[in-house]
Amino acid sequence: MEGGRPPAWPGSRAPGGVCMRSEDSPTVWPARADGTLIAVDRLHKTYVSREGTEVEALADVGFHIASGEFVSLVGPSGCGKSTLLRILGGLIPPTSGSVLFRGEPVVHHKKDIGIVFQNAVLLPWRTVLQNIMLPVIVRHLDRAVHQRKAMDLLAMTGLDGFVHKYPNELSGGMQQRVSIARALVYDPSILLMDEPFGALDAMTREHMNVELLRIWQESRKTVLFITHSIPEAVFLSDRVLAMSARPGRIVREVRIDLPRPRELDVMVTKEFGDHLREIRSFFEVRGRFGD
Amino acid sequence: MGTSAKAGTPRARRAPWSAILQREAVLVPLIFVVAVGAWEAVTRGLGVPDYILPGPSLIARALVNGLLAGTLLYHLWQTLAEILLGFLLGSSLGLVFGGLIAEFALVRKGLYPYIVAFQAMPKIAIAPLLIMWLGYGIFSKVVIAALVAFFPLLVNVIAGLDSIDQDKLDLMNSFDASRWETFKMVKVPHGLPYVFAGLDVAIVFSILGAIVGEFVGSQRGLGNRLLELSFAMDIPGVFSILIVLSVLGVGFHLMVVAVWRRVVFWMEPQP
Repeated sequence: MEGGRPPAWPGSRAPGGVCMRSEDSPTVWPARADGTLIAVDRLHKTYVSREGTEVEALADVGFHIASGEFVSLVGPSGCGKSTLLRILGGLIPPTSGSVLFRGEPVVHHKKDIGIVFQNAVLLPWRTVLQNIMLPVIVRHLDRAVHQRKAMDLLAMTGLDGFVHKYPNELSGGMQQRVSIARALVYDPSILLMDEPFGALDAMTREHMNVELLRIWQESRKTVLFITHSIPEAVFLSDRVLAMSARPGRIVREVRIDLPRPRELDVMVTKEFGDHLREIRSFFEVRGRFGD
Repeated sequence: MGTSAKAGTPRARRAPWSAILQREAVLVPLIFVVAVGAWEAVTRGLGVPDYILPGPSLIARALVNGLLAGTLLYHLWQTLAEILLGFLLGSSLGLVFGGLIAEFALVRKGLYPYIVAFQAMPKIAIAPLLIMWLGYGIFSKVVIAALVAFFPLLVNVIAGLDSIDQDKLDLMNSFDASRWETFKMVKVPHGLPYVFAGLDVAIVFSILGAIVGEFVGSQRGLGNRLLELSFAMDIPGVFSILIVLSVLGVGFHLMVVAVWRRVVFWMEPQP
């Protein structure tokens, strides 16, 4: 269906004239300064639990994401992945440290960030189209322009026939696609995705992964994808960041150089298996890998 | 899965009786007919005096007589007006105060303890006071009905607005939504099922309030008529009033549920 379309994954394009593909850069830590979209530096988050004890959720987290990259963050349950995502999205403040978006504090850049939550979080009283238009209305953007954009996104996510349906008439996979379209409608530079397919069955999940890569390649966004599935992370990403159990910190970075565009077949290749083993071995040494 | 169910011999085609009985439209009237028949049979068979427990036929006659004579309607209009005005007044105040308490921490802190204390008191107990202050006319009964309708709404509006999930707030927050936009576009629709559950309770409470108010002091209304008839030992008449009151209650409940279904179309009402 995309026959004849030139390969459009971010590596092939060069925003600001900077090539983002990384064969030329060494195992990057820290990432180079040019083309950096998000820079996280010495981030700490401590919160007070209901019992009054202090819980350290994140300890000294630091990484960079380059424009156009697909980066996954894997880690055991409760390691603070979601907390990190909420800080990156400007929803909660960090205890200390900084999150810079193009060199500025991230809270000033919410309109450049699209969040896809663990649950689709659709409003059941709004139709699919009305749900996708929600950010447009809240941000007082041009409705006519974005309505056309919403229709394009619905076509792109294969939901053309469901424009005027209500969320409870859709399957879980379709609901999550609507929420992705909603996050893309105002054209943010980066998508933050918090285990978006965690609630789906394995078959739907694989299908959604392929869909996501296609959407990513068409929309040319930067993506930070949180998951606790290592195969999912390897399949999707340019780079996988591994996070330790609480307090969460980034303990390993693995560059995934599997060719793109990727289809599910790639999961049976030796290279894929090597990457899996490399990441998995780390968690095994460290002890149990949650859930 | 499911193989064991298929393994058995295919079920013989059942007589359709049980299926017919399962239908609400059949089952409910059937129980009515059986119960009323048994009631009539017992009162006649055992010769229960009419002033203790009249049979259904006597009650029906009293009902028809009341309707034909116009006395029933005369009192019904009064009570109906008290119920509806009280319900409107009480539930709108409950909506407003519930919204204020749920949304503003300061209001909640300052007002909520008083409201809890007031709620713990049986409102009916101040009915004599209200009659004394506001007189025997319609107004005192409207206020009593409003008072009892107020709390279910208040409590449910607060519960509904408080029950909003963090996900939805995060979503609106990620769009930089203002507090008002979040309230109007997410919290209010989310709270609607609670509001309707509150209205459903409030309308029944309003009936209670109006009747009790009439008991305490009134010149007209179904409660007033009920007392009159029971003093006169007209027990079939008393029953006829009770029937009118329960028909009122069921009617109002069905109306609330009908509107509920229409407005909260994405969710089945849970009575």
